[in-house]
Amino acid sequence: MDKSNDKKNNRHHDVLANIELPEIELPLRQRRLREALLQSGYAEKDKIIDLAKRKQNKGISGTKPGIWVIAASIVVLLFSYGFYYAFLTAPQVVANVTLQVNPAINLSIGERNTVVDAIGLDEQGQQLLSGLNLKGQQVQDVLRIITNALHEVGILSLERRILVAVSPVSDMISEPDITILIGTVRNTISKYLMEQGLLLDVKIALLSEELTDVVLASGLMPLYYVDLVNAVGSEMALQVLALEKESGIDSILFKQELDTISALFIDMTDAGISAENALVAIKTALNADMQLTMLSTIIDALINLVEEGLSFEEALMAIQQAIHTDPTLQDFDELIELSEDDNPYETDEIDDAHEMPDDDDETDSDVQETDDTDDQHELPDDDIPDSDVQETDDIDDQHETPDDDIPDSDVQETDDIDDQHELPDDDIPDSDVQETDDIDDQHELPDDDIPDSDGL
Amino acid sequence: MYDRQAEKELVAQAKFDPEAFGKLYDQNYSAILNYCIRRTGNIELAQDITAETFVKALKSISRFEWRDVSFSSWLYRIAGNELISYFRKNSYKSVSLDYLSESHGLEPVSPQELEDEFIAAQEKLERHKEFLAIREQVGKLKQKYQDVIALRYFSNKSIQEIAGILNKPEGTIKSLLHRGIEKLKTHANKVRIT
Repeated sequence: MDKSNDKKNNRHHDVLANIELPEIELPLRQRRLREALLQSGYAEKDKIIDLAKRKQNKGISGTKPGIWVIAASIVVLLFSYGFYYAFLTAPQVVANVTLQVNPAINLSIGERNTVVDAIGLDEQGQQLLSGLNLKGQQVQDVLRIITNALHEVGILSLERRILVAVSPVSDMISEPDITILIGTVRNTISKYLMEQGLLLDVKIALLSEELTDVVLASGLMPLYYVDLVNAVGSEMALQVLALEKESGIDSILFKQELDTISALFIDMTDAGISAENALVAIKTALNADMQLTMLSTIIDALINLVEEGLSFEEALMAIQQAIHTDPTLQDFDELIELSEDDNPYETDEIDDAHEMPDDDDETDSDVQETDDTDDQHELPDDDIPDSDVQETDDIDDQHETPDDDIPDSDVQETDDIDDQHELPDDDIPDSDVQETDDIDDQHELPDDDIPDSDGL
Repeated sequence: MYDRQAEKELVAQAKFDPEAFGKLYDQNYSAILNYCIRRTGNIELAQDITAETFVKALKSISRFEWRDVSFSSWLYRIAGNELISYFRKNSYKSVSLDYLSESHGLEPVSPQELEDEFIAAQEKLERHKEFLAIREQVGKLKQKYQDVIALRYFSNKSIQEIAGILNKPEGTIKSLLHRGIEKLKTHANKVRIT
């Protein structure tokens, strides 16, 4: 690269590096947030909610939350079969309404939406219900009593969600009636939360009897499937469950990661991928990653490709190719990035149709930019073509040896393998490029995820 | 001056001492807020994302393990994920502020004072026309380029820090940075940044 070009490149970097940045302060808001944060329950999240304080002074204070999860799991495992069949065989029960806010509670619903029985599915649930006489009352009254009790002991904090699974029992309840029941449940809980100014997320799903059957037989609670069922329906949720056996993944691991699998499934459907295709993608990822360590990465990459304009089949092929090229998945990110860059539908931000002549006279398609170590040291070419001048930098620029045109002291020479895999973005003739402003979320974690500090 | 060891000790203390978290908050609030403002160009939205970032950090600080990257980088990562969530959906739902105000008694401040603060901030932001023009162009890039350019030039992070925040090799960061600027330049005739 000649010196004049270096100069122009430096200029572009300098503009960015020397731009005057706004420095905004919001002292009032900063102070208010600080105080609220430190007073909030978040700071005390490891404190145990003492359900027992409502009743006798016995039980659970001083126990860590993790213990509750284990305890709840054991209780569920021990009682699931008996619990389920008990409900099935009870003729007066037409449906089950299972709430989980940690604690978890099951309400057996009889005709005319009366509560036939209420059972705590974990120790917290049992404590919450102890002393409450709920049988024979209308489901809306019972739900109000329960949510109020949850609120009283401080359980209804923002970080929790209320999950409700409604499951019909056999043919004991008609479709309109179960719809009415769901509406009643939703309205009752929402109304209470609104009255109390609480902003918890409430998810309600109707689980088919078949799905409930399978879920309970797996030793899990139907509640785990609320999100999934809401997204894809009971039938598809059943197929997701079947993946455990199909893929041969360790059963415990599969159950542990079911939340993740469900979330990814939902992400895919949110991105416009059909449930059937999402299932294929999950299968592909599971087969490639039996330890489930790269599952999110694989599916996120697929979503990115689709959102960038590839068809699902093309995106899946790219994923499969990356997996095939590197079955260890260690270079998966880089291989996929390569695919993204090759994507003829990828339409970055620039409206090429209106673009001023670039500083290179080659057509991009004719050039395979070897994004080697040299490139890492190259400054971007001059960005502002003079209106009267068509810049015609030599194609060899792309292959030239490192020069010293990186003004950034932080940039040191590296020969990362990642970069060697990268191809240029601009290797498609501009005229063939359709423009969209897709966001590349390849670094994205699930929305609510906290970045794992392990990775830091 | 950034004192890594002091921050490390503060983080350890913050796992059980809210006041220590308060100090971390004081040290990082402005940086995160301004990072979010510079990414979004929207003060209200940036404020929400910043609040959400700190709420999530507080919720998860007990799980935070100090490895090679600072606590502040972790905050950038959380904020980055919140930003991605916003960019992806083109909307952002932050419940933290509302929840905190209703459940945990935000300090009472008159709405007028808050409004005045916002107006002053907005005016200050709008004075940076050159920055806003460049931000707009950067905002049209793919997310991966936005991430590195914003961290490098809008938050003055080193390549090493960016690598830590984005959990990617330094070489990849350099490459993304290079290519991101390359893409930015093709649009520069519209922006007139020189």
